[in-house]
Amino acid sequence: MVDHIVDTSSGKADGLDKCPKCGSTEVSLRPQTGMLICHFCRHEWAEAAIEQTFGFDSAVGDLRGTVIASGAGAIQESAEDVLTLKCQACGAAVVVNTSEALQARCHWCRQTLSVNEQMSNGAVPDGLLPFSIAKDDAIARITAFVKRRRFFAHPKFVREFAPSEVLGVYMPYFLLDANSHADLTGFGEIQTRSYTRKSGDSETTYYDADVYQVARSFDLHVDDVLLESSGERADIDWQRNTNNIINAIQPFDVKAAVAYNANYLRGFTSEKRDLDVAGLTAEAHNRVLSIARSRAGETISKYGRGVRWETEHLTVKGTRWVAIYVPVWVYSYFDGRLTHFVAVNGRTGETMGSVPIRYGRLIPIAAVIGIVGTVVGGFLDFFMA
Amino acid sequence: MYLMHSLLTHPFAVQLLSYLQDDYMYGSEEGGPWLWLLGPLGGTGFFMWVFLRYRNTDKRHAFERETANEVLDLKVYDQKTGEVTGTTDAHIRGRNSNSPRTRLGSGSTVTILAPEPPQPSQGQSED
Repeated sequence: MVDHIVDTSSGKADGLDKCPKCGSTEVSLRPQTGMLICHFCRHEWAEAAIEQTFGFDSAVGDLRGTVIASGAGAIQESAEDVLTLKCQACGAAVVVNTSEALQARCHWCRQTLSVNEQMSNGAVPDGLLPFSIAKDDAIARITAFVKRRRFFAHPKFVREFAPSEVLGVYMPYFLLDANSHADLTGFGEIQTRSYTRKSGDSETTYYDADVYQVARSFDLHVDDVLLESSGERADIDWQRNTNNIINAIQPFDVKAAVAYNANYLRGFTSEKRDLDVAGLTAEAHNRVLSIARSRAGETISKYGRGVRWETEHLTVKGTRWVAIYVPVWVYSYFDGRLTHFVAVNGRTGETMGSVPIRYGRLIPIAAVIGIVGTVVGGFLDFFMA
Repeated sequence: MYLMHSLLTHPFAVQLLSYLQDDYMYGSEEGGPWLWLLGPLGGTGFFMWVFLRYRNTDKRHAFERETANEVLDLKVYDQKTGEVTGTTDAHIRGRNSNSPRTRLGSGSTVTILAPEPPQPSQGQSED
């Protein structure tokens, strides 16, 4: 299945991940600069961009077979989420649950311990996109979003609205490049004449058209499709969840992704990846086919009556899979049935959300509009007849 | 609420609405039954508008348009095969060119090519 693995591991063992200048472990992300900052000596630095460092920017057309980065490996069901880290400073054993955090503080000497090795439970990605939108900015955007949707919002939601509870979450995705070829066939129609005929009181429009057999064949190089690699987040169904909100704040400037360093995650939470390449291959093909159909759509503008595609064939020559974390500010509210998200893209600030509705207000107002409309319509009908 | 949303987005409802619209556009000038639909359509339309503005259930990332990609070596084939006359459909039957995310059932197929075995390196010298 996998033809080539690119090693993206940092080579660092689990444990102390120190400031390169002074050796302190008090390091975190500074969103204003997107850089790591040492809280002891104020030194700022960034990890290397993953694209250039690991050659993920090489031409998509040269991709052959399935190439995966080492952080995107298969998930072993037997892999334990709970890891025991040995503090290299004092020797204590510190337990960290990697499904929730990739750092823990040694309870004896207060050093920060980091999970650096890529584990087979999917918790450590190849790279990540650091937050560049600060928490205050995210709160302001969420507040503004909800403020514009107050009148029909559920009163309990309005009363309990506390945007300061927003959480910075690193969401897991696969970054997919695909070298492919698409073949599409179908039929298209060009209108040649339209005319109306009267029968009694009503008129009907008729159309004449020329029918064409249509085929399109092209190489398609796709760069950086984001695929949800958390099974829970990949399940988008508006009747059962509001995951589409998290999906809708894309795109992310993934070209700026840097190599993984647990210090970027400090103060944020992260959602663990639980899907692997094998589980997402069909969805990857689906995405590439959608892009192919979209591109083919640009070549059929002369078919004014549209095209009915009957076959679409994708030949996959090569794919490259990289596991990354992208930054999302999430405010969530459970209304007893659904968890509503208001989410802010941690890079671009794009905001989208789901606000629970006060149906007790909306339905009567919609009904009044209906009744008034009916009366006006009936009135007009009576006078025009 | 959810039922109402489902009903309005159901293909049958969409079809019905397009007929009503046709009736509106080409209907007689002496008024007619469509005037009586002004109210029900106004009420449900307002409900739908508020629902989507608050819940944003229709929002998705348009990856098919926003993902960077490159088309190379495009080959096109367009051959006239016949004519249709006197149809009342404004579009080709079964039009799907405006829904690129919808797959074609058994018409959608994928082949995965195995990578070629690595070529023996040539022309490399030690010096």
